[in-house]
Amino acid sequence: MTNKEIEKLLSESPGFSDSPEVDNLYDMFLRMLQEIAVLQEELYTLKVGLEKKGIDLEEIKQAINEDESHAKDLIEQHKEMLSRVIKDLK
Amino acid sequence: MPRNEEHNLVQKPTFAEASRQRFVLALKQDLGRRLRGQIRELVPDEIIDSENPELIEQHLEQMPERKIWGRLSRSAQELMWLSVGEPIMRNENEITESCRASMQSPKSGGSLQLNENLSFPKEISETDVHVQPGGYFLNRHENDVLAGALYEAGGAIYSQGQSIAGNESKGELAIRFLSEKAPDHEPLKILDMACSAGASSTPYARLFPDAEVHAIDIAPGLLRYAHTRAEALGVAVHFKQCDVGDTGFEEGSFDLVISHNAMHEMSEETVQSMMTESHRLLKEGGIALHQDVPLRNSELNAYQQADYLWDYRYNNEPFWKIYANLDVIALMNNAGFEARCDRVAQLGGSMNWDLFWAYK
Repeated sequence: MTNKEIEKLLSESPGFSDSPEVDNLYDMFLRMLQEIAVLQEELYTLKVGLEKKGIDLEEIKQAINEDESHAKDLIEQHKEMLSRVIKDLK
Repeated sequence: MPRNEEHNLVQKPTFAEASRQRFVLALKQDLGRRLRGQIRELVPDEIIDSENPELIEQHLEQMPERKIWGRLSRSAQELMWLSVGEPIMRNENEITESCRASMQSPKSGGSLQLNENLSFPKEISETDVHVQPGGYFLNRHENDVLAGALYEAGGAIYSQGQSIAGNESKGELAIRFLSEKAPDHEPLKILDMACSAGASSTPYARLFPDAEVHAIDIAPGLLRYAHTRAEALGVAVHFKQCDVGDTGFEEGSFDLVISHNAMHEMSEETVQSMMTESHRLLKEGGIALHQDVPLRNSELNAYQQADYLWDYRYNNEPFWKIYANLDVIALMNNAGFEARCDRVAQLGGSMNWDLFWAYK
């Protein structure tokens, strides 16, 4: 069994609204929050690490904003997160 | 003893997996403590004052806020299984191999006896209790332990969400209770009925090192895991697949018969048969102790009774409602005991458990 198969086993979730789409949206909303929570924890970890090393986080943020290659990487990361959250439309 | 005993079957999550699990825990705590209470404030007084659980439940089922809470709560439970499932699925081959090895050559003196011909009660075997994927009876091959692996990993988050974990376990509480109420009772043969993944069986084996500990359940995937888990912890427990009402053990052969959180997942007939079998199996002077959640409709107001039906309907608790009205003492007395119930507070935590117990 894979995690995808576990998802299938969970697909018989009861409806709480009059529309399955609305139920799916709530589900997606939670998954999205869950992924944001992962990012939040990664940021927390980085912040702790940087503070330990005496590095100024604001300075690094500014440098990333000004570098186009970082923007491309970040957009790819957003897409990866979206595919985790939204998955297939079926 | 740590609340969640460490052993090599517990899969270490990656940082992201652990983050997802922490999120689910936060979500479940927020939904259960803050938001569930807020719904009560939105129900009109005339509905509450009716003191009619059916009417209150009908109203709750129609409330938009309750529907949103219900959707989020059900999704939180589903996310819990997905979150704990990730590290287990990643390492499933290793877990299965551990199971196969421990079944072939157990090193701790324990054993596992399965019975392929056993039939299962439909209400449980066809329900994914607690929304656990595949349910307790997931059994895809002869070394399948996934039901037990998910049960233990999900249970750790589930109990933390209810503030049960991190403190005295149910088994430890029952053993402490027995040491206070029956200090001279030194059981040499113990039976844990409906042991599921064996998390309550191993404390008895540890804390009564001279005792022979047996544990039974009807779900093969849970038992394989329970056996492998006990082996990983280095304690000897003899697991057997059988019905709680028909164990096949010799009459008068046990000093202590226990169960933990089992009755609320059984029909009244099954609980009665478990009590009758407990009485048959005990020696004179032996003790039966059956622990479960403190869910008694007679102690709840109409709103609480209606609200708790959510778990029955949407968290796949098929016997929740039956257990809330069950007269466990009467069932024990029917079996020949003179039973009593003590509600005992968990050390270091906020939870109370009901202990139904009696000497034979």
